[in-house]
Amino acid sequence: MKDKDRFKEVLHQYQVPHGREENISKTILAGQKIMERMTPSKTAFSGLLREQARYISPYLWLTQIIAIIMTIVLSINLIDPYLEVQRILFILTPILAFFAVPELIKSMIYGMSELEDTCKNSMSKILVARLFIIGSINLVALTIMITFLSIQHQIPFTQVVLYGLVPFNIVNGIHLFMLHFIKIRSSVASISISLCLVALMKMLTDLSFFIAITETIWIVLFVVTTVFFLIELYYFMRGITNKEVFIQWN
Amino acid sequence: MELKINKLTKQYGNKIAVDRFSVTFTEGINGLLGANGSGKTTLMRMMCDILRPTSGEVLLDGVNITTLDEAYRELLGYLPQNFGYYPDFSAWDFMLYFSSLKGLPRLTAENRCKELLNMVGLYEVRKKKIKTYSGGMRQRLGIAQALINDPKILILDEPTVGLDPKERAKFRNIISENSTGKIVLLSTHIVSDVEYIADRIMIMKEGQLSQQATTDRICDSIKDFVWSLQVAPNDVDSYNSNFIVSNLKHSGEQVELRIVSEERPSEKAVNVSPNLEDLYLYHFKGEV
Ligand SMILES: Nc1ncnc2c1ncn2[C@@H]1O[C@H](COP(=O)(O)OP(=O)(O)O)[C@@H](O)[C@H]1O
Ligand SMILES: [Mg+2]
Repeated sequence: MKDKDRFKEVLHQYQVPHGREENISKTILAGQKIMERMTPSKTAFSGLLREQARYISPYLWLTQIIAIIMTIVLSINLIDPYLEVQRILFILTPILAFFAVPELIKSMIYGMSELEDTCKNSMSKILVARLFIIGSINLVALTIMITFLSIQHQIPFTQVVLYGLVPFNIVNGIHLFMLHFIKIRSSVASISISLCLVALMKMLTDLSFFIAITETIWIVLFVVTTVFFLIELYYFMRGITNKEVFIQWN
Repeated sequence: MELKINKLTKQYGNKIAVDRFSVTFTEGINGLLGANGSGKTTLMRMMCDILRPTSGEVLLDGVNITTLDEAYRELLGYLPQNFGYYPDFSAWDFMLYFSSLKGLPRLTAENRCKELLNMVGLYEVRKKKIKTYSGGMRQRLGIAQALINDPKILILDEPTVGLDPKERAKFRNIISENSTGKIVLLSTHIVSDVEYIADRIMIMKEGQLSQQATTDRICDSIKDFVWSLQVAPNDVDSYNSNFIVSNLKHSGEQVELRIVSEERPSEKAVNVSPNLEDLYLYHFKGEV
């Protein structure tokens, strides 16, 4: 304490000229800059979501809108609502999912994984964030479609949910399943798979047994396809920790 | 800060890409020199924790980098040998995207990206799509990206590929200026890339560390093996097939050969002081 007083005394012996205004603000700015740089840092998951959401492809958004609009258009004047609602959902969910998996694995498609994987917020975090965003977008769009159809044609909501989720699980499950066999390195490859899936689902609805599916079978189908989809999702996420799958080899 | 590599090994099937590689990096610029296929990329990927070693470990101040995980990556800057970009990205998008993955707050990120793009000479064209860039511009962008988080450990895999001589010189300056207090490792198969700026040089051959020393001492090992010799033009072929000829110069009627050889190639040969190029040829004679 005494030292401090003495120190003050010494300091006060001298007249300190007042600094120039611009120099003072320059110093403050420089200080601020340094402090910003030192901001350390766990990135909150919400922050990561926001950043990744910013980079989600506009095509993904577009397909959601198209699917919703087509739901509305196609559901006018149905003769046999139950069957036709099933058909509509089988045809439209693959459109909903068209860019889902391609968007999820875009790091690999465009050769960004090696770079992304060495960033602080690693690949697994990024993929979880992306999965969360794309999944949410898809499910919101699907919910809108289902709700609309259910109200429009007075079919119990729970039933339409089954009709919607079964094809959704199948399409995404198969797309993820394909990743076991082919290392997708181009957007063309990935989009071709999506196209094939659209065609496949359309074909399914034309099969004669499609009409014969009873409510119980729908429930069974729902359970089976959900398990299939979740297993594929699990393998996909597990593959991420086994990073080597995703880096390119020159 | 000390980055220790301990008997690091990576095996693909029965091909051993990196073979019990041990070395300790301290602050400064380290050049990793090796022919194509000698395992440089594989080694660097393991040092970045994106490739799991078959055995061995990488330790930062005694702690395994896999354990450090995020804390390690926070210190890391990496330029892969090849990298892509999302199709609609401009250089500016690219930089901000990686800033966000590296956890920089937006405002800091913008300042930092501006500074770095200026440094690599891309600020003026930052809004242009990357797909319109030349190879050299993309490579400069990659270098800028690696520096975003002001990394303490900077790993650059063949950073000068695709750069013209002017860009190379610029690159060397950038790395020199940004290397204080950092561990910098850069791989190349081009000798002049490291000759001027590296503090230490490592030579990697068939996955193994075959030699390492400070840049001014690295050539000591071959100091008695480099010869200069005047021969008649007719004899050139025979020397070429029997020795490593690192240079050949016509002077008048005679041809002056620079030969790397443990034995005196001829009575008339005189010892000359070796350079890094001679050393490289000495190590990779069979592969050039
Ligand atoms: N994913 C892989 N699968 C099989 N062999 C590989 C793989 N990656 C690298 N190699 C082999 O390992 C060796 C070293 O490769 P690399 O590390 O790329 O060398 P460099 O970068 O020095 O050119 C090469 O012989 C290459 O063929
Ligand atoms: Mg390489």
